[in-house]
Amino acid sequence: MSRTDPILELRDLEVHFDTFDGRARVINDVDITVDEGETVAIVGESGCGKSVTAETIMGMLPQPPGEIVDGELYYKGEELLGDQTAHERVKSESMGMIFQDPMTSLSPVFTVGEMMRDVLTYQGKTNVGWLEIVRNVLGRRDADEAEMRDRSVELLDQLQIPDPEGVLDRYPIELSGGMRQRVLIAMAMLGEPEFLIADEPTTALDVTVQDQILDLLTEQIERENLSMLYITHNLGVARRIADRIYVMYAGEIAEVGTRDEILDEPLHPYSRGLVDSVPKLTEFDRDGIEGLLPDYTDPPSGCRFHPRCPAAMSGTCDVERPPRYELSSGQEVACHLYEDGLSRAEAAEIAAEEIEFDSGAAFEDRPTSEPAQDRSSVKGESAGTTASIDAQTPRSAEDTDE
Amino acid sequence: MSSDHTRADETDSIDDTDEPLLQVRDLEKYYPITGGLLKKQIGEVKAVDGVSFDVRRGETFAIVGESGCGKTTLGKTIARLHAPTGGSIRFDGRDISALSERDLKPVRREIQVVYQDPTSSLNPRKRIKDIVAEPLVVHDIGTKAERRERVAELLERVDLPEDFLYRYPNELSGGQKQRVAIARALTLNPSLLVLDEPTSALDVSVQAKVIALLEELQAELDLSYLMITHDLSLTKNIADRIGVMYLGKLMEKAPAETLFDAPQNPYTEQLLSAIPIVEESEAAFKPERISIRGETPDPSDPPSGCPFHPRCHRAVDDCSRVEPELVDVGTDHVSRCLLHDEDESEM
Repeated sequence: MSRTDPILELRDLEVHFDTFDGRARVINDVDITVDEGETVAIVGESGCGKSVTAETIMGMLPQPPGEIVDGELYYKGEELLGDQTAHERVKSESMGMIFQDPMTSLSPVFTVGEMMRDVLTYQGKTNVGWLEIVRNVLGRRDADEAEMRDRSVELLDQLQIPDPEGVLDRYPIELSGGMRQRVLIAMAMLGEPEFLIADEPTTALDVTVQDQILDLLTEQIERENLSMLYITHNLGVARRIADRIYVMYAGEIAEVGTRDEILDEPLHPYSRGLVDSVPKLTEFDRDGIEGLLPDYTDPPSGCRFHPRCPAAMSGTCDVERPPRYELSSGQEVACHLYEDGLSRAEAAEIAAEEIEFDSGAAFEDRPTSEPAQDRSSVKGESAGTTASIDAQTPRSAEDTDE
Repeated sequence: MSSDHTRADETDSIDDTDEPLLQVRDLEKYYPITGGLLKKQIGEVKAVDGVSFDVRRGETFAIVGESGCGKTTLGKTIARLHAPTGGSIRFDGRDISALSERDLKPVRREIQVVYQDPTSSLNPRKRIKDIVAEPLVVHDIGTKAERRERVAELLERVDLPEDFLYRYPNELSGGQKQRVAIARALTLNPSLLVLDEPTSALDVSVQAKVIALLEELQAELDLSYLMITHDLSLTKNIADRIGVMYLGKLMEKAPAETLFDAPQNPYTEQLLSAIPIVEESEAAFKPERISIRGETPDPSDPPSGCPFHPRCHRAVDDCSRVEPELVDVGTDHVSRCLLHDEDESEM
């Protein structure tokens, strides 16, 4: 894999949330790199912190309750987390964002045309005063209006929206789900971004429509040579769109590799459990992963996955946080089973030998307040800390997909 | 035109020795569209339009389709939460499509529903023990002690610990809540469960375990499942037979393997081709990529002729004029497409 300079680099990100149950240490030491022209996917289950990561990059993290405790974000070499004005500027000049649910991210009281016109009018501007707004509303010239309309029509046309002129005069509610998502992509493209962040943009759609949207998105990316960070829980979608994949678990990166490395032969026990759990056309492994996401206010010591891990080593995994070991192929795995410099074949052998999910008792459903019986020391010890994340972080509502 | 084509409906003939648990024939559920000052009916939505299929004893029959195809309405109509506007539902040898609420009560013990989102299907103000015991209360079964015993037994059956009895739904994770919903559905010892997207609100690692539980329960308690879902990869793994729905109509119905190995209907082909696969090895099991056009049209104004023709990659001129019937295309395999007739006449 030839690596160019990264367009986006997130280093050592740490994000905490203040909740009623205490301080939730959600994002722990997350590094993400997106190279120029590359599409990177972050995959993980509800509550793993993938949307929080995206929000931090977009400067949209609600603070409070969120707080960026540590970390740097470089966009083309420029640090953004410490400089809000720079972040705002880079965001409006170079970044575009596509959200999950077009019905909540499009205004119901404006037509598509009005929203697109406003994007064109105000893009790249921060702190627009009311005077300017009034001036824009009253004194917009017909020539500008027509030009903006042409540009909007052109984009809607690129996204294969039938009758783009007509769509400009319609309200979001008059459009189908697929059309709304296309409008949202068109709006993200209006600012001619170099970098796109997409947070589960196809989750609310049917498979046939999802297929169309993914095609269009790929087309846009190739035409404009965009870089993209794509957040999803759907591994199949990640295969369609991503060059590289980051697997996230409990606010940490478990594994990074190329699409095929991660999906065809995952090495981290969590990624393996995740990939195995997806029903496939070839087979369906019903073992799942035992246990629940940990309570972020009191995350497990050592590796955050160890209480649920079938290969957890007592004395190591519950004590020491695994670094990201880099294999000779460039793939990185945060798991004590591996070490730096292993070849992929060697690593795959270790994975095959050590990682075995069994279909035993549904640990997922063990009581959350009492220690489980009959578990090995490592697992039993931590059973008391597992609790449903749903009740405890403000993220859960948006993260529960489908 | 060949005379080999029997109307598909007749092929599911009633066999006395092994009568299917559920026989749905030409089921219709139309909703009126009203308008104007006097709320006059100005049209109708054919949410379920002439659907026929059987659910055999002990099998899982899956209905797949995109949003708005009428699959949820179909499930609710079969559970008689809605009254059908036409057709018949024979359950265990008895037509239940026109029964009154009172006559339905014993039937309700036999047919239970598990919904997609356990957060909204469980009453947040009741404890788990009361949620699971509620069917017993409604049907006035057992003494207090007997009910308590039954609830404890059910909780154990769905692998939930006993101390969950006194918890409220919001203290449970999504997977745990869905287990409670399943326990509640089993309280009255039903023979048919209508599973409406039972795992689509859950993460995959949790879904796997819930599916394993459902399969275990099916084998142990001899349950039949009518599973409604949009996840084709899942149905391939757990369903015995599958019906594909589009705009209220059954487009194709076949045993699971047949449907995936040799889909006959163009709509099924498109659905299969759009499955986002995870592992490279899966590619061999799905059809060539088909470029898919458009979205499901407005069900209140369906296209003329074949409902799928505006999106179909095989559409011919006649498709917009002639409405295809379901015809036999193989063993226990029916499909609705004009091209089947043509293939036949060429031979």
